Amino acid sequence: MTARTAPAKPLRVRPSGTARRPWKYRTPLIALADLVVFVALWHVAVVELELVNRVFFPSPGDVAGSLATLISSGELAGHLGTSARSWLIGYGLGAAAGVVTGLATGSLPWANRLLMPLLWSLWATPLIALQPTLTAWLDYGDGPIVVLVFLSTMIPVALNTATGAAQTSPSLIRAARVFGAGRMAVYLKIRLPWAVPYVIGGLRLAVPTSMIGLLVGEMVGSPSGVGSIIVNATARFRTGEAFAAIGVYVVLSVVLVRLLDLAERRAGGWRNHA
Amino acid sequence: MRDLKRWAVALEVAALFALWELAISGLKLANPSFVPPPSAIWTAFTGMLADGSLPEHAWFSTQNAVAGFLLAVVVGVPCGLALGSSRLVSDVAGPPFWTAYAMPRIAFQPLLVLWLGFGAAPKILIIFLMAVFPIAINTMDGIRGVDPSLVRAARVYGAGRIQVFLKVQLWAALPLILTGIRMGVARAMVGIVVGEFIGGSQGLGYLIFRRSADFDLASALALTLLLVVIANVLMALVSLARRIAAPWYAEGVS
Repeated sequence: MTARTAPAKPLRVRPSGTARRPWKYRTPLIALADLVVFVALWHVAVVELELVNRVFFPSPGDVAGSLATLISSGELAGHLGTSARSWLIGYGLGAAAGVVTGLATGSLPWANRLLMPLLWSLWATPLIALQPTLTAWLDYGDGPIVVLVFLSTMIPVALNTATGAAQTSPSLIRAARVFGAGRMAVYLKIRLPWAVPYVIGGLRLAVPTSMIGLLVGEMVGSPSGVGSIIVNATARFRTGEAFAAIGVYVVLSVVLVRLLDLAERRAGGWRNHA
Repeated sequence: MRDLKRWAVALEVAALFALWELAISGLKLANPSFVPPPSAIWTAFTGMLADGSLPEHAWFSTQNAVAGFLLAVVVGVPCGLALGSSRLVSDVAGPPFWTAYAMPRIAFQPLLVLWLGFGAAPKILIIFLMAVFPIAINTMDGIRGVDPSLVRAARVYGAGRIQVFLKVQLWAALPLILTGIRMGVARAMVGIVVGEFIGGSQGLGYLIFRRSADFDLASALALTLLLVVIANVLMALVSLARRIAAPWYAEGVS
């Protein structure tokens, strides 16, 4: 707020805690208005003004129609099932492997020295470049996709968990020791719960990266999955269908990130009281 | 201490490669044309350098990467500044920005090829799209996180809005802007590769794809490792810039 006041005027400094609270529904309403304006402009540009060729760029109505067809024909359900299975297997295994690696890396100094640099460098790497090699190794289909999703989930989860485990309050660990906790109990009852918010943060970071892995795998080397709808529909100039499939991915990604945001907020609270 | 750590990493990587070589060439645990040992990968690498295919494709990728990434910085930073410093802008433009940030933008690549053809344009555009959102969002966070007492101090000494912006906010936000640029580099690398996987006939991504399809896995892995090295060098350079520009800023997962 202070940034807006001109220097000539007296400084307006609110005492802390008295900042003007915006109306509760302001943000969702503006977002909704955004969406309506966006769709309206899109419709007018394509249908009324005919700024683009509708074969190449569908109108919102075309996309909705294609989505309805994809749903009613059962095509979407089939592809979505394939995508969901690949993603869940890869993401689940990746999360589990990431938590274990992260806990070890964060709490054992030698594992930290050995693994952290490798994990960091893999995090910087475009893992999807492995896709063609994975396809050569595992054949077309779900195999390379699951591996890509696994890798792109495991690395951020491991890095975040390691950060959390390394920052575990030493006094909590000492207290547990005093009460007779063994090594395993310290892991399970102190380090793991302490790292939970970090794990969730890593899972959240892994949503976009795992989605990229899933999509690239499906677009480049798979006959099924929502990503393959995008490629096949585009090749047949059915852009409405491609947009509908992209829309499905957009909704999925946004919902997943939101869910994990919510979980992060829930899980993080207790640490402030510890 | 830091030098020691670097040596340890180099040793570790060397040990990994030695084990890999031993497992394939020495113990014959796998078919070497299926899982090529490091020596074969190196031979493939020098072979591609010598016959000119690697420089040619690398040059194509580099041009696109530079164009797309510069565009992302030039557009992303001002967008982030606007989102971070104006309540109105962030309320109205924020939701679409966040949606675009959360969505897998790579999904548009087949359509970009349909719209723009098989040349460099869709590649540049996907690199731009991949990099611009992390840059803008981090810049926004950076501007929002500027300590208000710094701003107030500048005002007390008579700084105007623009001066506060140029002399305080921009500098205080610099570490996060560089974090965004670092993330942007990682995403741009993904954009380069996918852009050339789909509807490409040139570039490092295309070459990986082509060589794998021919079961020349030594070349494919050589190129993949080259990308790993390039990505790490670029990220390290941005981190170095951040350390120099903002030595007080702690490193996190980004």
